[in-house]
Amino acid sequence: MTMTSMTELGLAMGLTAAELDHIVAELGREPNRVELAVFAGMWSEHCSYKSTKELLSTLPTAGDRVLAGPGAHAGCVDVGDGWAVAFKIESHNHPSAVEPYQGAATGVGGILRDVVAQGARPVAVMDALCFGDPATPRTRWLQDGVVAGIGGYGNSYGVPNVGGLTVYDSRYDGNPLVNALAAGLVRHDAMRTAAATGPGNVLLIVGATTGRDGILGAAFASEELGEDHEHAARRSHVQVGDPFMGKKLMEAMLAFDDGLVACQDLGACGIACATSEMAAAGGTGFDVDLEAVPQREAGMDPFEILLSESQERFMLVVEPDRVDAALEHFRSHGVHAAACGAVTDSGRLRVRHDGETVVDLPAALVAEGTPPQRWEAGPLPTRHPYPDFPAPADPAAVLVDLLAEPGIADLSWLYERYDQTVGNRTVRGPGRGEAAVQKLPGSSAGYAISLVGGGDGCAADPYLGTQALLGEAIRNLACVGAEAVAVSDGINAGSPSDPVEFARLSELIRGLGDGLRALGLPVTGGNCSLYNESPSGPIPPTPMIGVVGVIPDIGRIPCPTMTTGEVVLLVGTPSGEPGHSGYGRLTTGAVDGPAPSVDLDADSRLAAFLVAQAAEGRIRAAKDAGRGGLGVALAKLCIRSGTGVEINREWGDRPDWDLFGEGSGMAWITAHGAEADALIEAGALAGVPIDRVGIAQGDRLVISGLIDIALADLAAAHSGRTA
Amino acid sequence: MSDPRAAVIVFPGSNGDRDLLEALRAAGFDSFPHPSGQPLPDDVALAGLPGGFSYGDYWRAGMLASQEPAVRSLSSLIDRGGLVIGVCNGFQILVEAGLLPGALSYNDPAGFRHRWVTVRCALETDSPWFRNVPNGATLRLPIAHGEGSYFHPGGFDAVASHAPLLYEENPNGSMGALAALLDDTGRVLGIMPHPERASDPDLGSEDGLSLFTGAFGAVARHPSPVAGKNEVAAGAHTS
Repeated sequence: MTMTSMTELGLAMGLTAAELDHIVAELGREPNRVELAVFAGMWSEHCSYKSTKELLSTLPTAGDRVLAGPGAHAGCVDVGDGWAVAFKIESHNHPSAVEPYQGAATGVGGILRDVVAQGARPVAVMDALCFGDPATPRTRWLQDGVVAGIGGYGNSYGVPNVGGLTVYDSRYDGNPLVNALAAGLVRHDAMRTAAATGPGNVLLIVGATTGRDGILGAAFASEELGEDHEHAARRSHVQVGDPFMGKKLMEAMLAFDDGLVACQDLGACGIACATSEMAAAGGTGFDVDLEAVPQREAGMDPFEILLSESQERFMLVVEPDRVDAALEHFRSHGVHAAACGAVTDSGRLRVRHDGETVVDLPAALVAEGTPPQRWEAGPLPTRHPYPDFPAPADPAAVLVDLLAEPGIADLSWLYERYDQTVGNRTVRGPGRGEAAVQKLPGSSAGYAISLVGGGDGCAADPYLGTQALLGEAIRNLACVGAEAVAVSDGINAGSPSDPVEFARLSELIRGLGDGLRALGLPVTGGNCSLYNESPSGPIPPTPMIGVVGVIPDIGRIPCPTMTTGEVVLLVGTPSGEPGHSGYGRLTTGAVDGPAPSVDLDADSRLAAFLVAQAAEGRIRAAKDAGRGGLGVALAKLCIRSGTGVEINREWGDRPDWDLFGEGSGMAWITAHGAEADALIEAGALAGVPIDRVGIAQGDRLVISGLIDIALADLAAAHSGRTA
Repeated sequence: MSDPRAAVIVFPGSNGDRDLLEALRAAGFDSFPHPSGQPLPDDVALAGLPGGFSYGDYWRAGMLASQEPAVRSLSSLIDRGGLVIGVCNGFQILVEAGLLPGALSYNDPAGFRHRWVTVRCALETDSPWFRNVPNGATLRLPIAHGEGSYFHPGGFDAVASHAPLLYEENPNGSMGALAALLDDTGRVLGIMPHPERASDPDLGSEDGLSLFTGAFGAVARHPSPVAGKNEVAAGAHTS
């Protein structure tokens, strides 16, 4: 290959001229065609994080309970009794935009494999979806496909979907977001590593055969999306999921450990990624024989075998005298297995095919050597506070409108598509609590997971918008009596080559880091998806934040519902301003609005108070104020409980802002009358404003002087689409 | 005396096997997983066919699994007086195997559906599964299936006398809102909702456990299907 044709090919594959120069300088020669494809895949944004790794390195990662952090297949945190929760968020945005069913299904399959690679049995999936205008046929098509894909994979695989979020906003019209969080349980002493060690140990590939699907999917994920009519040509980049194979493979993987040294799932960039990363992690190399890889079709080019993103595959490093037993083990589970290479001390990834060496590269250069890509940060977009608007004549009508808003309205029709209870762990599933709760095997202890996200607040202010989401997550966990311990972050943003988008991304990550430090929480892993742009523009910068919390005694967690006769208490101070809110947007029609109001200290104090009082068994029901403020939170609690309330309280000058404004540190709780005084006393000690404001009773939501409406009317407004 | 043994048949693609093992254990059984590729051992008192997607549901749900050696060996367990429960996909397999009549087809309205439902016991029966569930009792159980609409060519009347549980609100278009079905012996139960997922109060309901404790009571009262299979074959504890 001439230098010119190598350069042209490299550029066509998505490498930059500077990267090509760097590769030639490092190798001391030109890469061949297959090597070039390996670099193009591995140095894509999707695999290398070249635009974000410096930003992400600023996030705090240390914590007492962290057993495995960023760099592991999935982060692991100690949740007690010798158990760890392994969890991680991943995105599958671009595949889902062009092929929603398979895009979403393989997104779930991919994140489940990360959890399994960590040695954990998957116990939960959650999904974070952003769609465009819900009234358009395209959104319907995307949503139906995505929901069917998530359900089609997870239901068959046998992992419950325990919650998540769905956002509707026309700013996602051209580029929907499909993020999924998976969590698994693993004993502390059974966690697995990707580090390939011990020259002479044998490389195995197990699971499905390797075909031509999903080739260079990683590079596809690192470009902007084209027009709709261009999507058809992109479908060949999308992988095809087989949950039946995934399930068999999961069982085979978890039942195998005799002679296992290391393992990694095959995702983006397939064998090229797994071998180079495992070797780099272990300070070793691999000799790989591509002909030994079980293939789905004849005549595959070596670069196709290396970069195939065929689903349901793992690579393992196994001690030589255990190889025969390992192959027998996997085949007995109905999955393919073959030895296809060996660990070397060369530090090089050497790949042979048809008697020729087709790749001979330093593994660390491939896996970790991407030069950071630095982008210029421009000015942030100007904010547009809401125009002044008068207090509504009928706050009840506002409440009804808010309850029916897409994003606030009930999504039980959607969650019914997902198995929520398989596995016998789910204590609180979708719609049954502010966060998902599961129990540990044979224990009264448990853990909770909150997944929050969205780009609305971040479009106005990425720094504060991200912190507002962090605050929401720890409030949610506290409402089920769980203390937050670790975070997985899924960041979705536009193209970093646009200075405005890069500035927003940088601010988002800075806000996340500062927020985590303020709350004392580590990040244990996550995902960063860039180039979420379509001809209609970039998405808002959109973080999805998954937080795991620990629960000492699930017998004491607050109920999802309140009961007639319980005292209602308001915790926190009503915002007295619209904040960045669904109310402000609904009323003024302003799309971006002011910066979110955030006080992480208030959220932190509220959360600590709720966790402590829940552990004392004093809280009957708890619901924090999120989208729609205190008013919507109270209405949802009433609807869920089938019980009305009567609230008597002095409100501020703008009761509508108190009721529907959004901010930090606010929640409703209920208690038996005898406990209310103790709660108020404890709140005073903890510096948490708390006030007895009413009682659960009847079938109407009454806020004296403001709202008096039948529960049935609220429930009808909230019921959303019934599919 | 050791606890009666209960085999949970694990098919490729089963995903409710561990839940069923737990529930049977909670009821007192010595439950263990058994691979579907082998006939059942002679010493089991009960066989459970778990929920899931055996063979990926890639043909008709339960059809491929119904040909497995463990399923083919069920009739000898039944002849010995043993008990069988098929939950969800297990119910589909029992129907495909011809051990229960009728068919389970696509939900109406269509689509996979997970929901907590209430089922009512609508039968006076000597079935060991219903020793602890009197006629008229209600159970709160989750459903999680896409192909649970029960059909019988003779209509619901043809199976009404064998239908112990009916949905209070029919979630899937089943004839007569049928949620479960017994064979003529009363010892083979197919059930679409998941009693094994409602066997722990922490998980929302323990109503389902009563089916398993009923079975345990019946087996423990007549601890014979194993040790004395001849005695059982002679009909020692058939109803």
